[in-house]
Amino acid sequence: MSGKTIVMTSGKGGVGKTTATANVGTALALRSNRVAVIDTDIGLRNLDVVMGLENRIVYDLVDVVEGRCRLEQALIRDKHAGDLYLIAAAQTRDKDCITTQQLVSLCKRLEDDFDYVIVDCPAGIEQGFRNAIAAAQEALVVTTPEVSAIRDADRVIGLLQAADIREIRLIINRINPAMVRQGNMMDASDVLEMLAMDAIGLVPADDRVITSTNSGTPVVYDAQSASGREFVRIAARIDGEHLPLIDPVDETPTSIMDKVRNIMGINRRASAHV
Amino acid sequence: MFDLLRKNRARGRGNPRQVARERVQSAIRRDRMEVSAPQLSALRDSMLCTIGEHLPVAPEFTEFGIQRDGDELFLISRVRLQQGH
Repeated sequence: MSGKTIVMTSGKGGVGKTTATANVGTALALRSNRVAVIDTDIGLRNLDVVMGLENRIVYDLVDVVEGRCRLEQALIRDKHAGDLYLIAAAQTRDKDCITTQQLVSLCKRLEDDFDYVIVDCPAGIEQGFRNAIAAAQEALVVTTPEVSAIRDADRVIGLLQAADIREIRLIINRINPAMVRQGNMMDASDVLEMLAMDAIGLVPADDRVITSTNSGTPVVYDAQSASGREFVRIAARIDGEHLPLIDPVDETPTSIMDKVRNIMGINRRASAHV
Repeated sequence: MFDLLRKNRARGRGNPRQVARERVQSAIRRDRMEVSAPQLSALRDSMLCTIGEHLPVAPEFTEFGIQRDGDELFLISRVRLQQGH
């Protein structure tokens, strides 16, 4: 097997990178792929919590690269999706404790055994970022429709291009349809035009993400969640399916009857698009 | 109806979406024009080398830098020619 390494990055922290990693990784595994997700945010790990695996960690990324355990021992099998594995970041070390070469060689080993290796990149553009992008053939840049997030995404895109990563696509997260309609938030087309990049997903703001994170169950398992449905579509697009992009502003119900249908789980617009 | 009222109110105080767009565009434009110190140094050397092919320059008296004026960026150089030319 020769898998593909994809880095999930953003520049700015707090835009939903880790949530996106957990959900895209889970959705890819639910499509019968073997998936390994790696948390490279050393010192501030969180992917384990989002995936509900925080109590299963014995060995971490630093243990593997420093040879204190075998790779198989650090791969934590997901509770829900059978072929999904996590390598957690070390919590008590700092970002400089692993080298770029160590992470590259780890990803190469994983590519032999997995269809997808997804690297959750730390915020910022320092050594941790440089390590995380070094092994990637593709990058997914997560941003939100906010000034600071878009500016940082632009900077990160420049660095990814300089690192010769050709396949770069955007996930625009937390689009608030009501705010867009009121003219209080930039829409997806604004962001895409400014960053001059293709999007692979337009994810609506969704309270269900908070409850899913609280329970340690990725939101892709929640059929009622609009963001969960979009993460499922993102995974399908990564996997080569040609699904049209759905703007959450078009998908969100506006009439009272639409809202009633949505509450009852009869989402006609969403099902018509996929 | 309420959406329409909200939109009108937003328009009155300067559409936040438009304001955000302009601010991002301005920030990105500036960031993309940022010239690093190594770039500037390489540019200075290349310029002095090119000018030196035509006129004798005194590099130790050269001023070279980037100046910003609003959204515009200017490359400013002041090259002193050697005495006696």
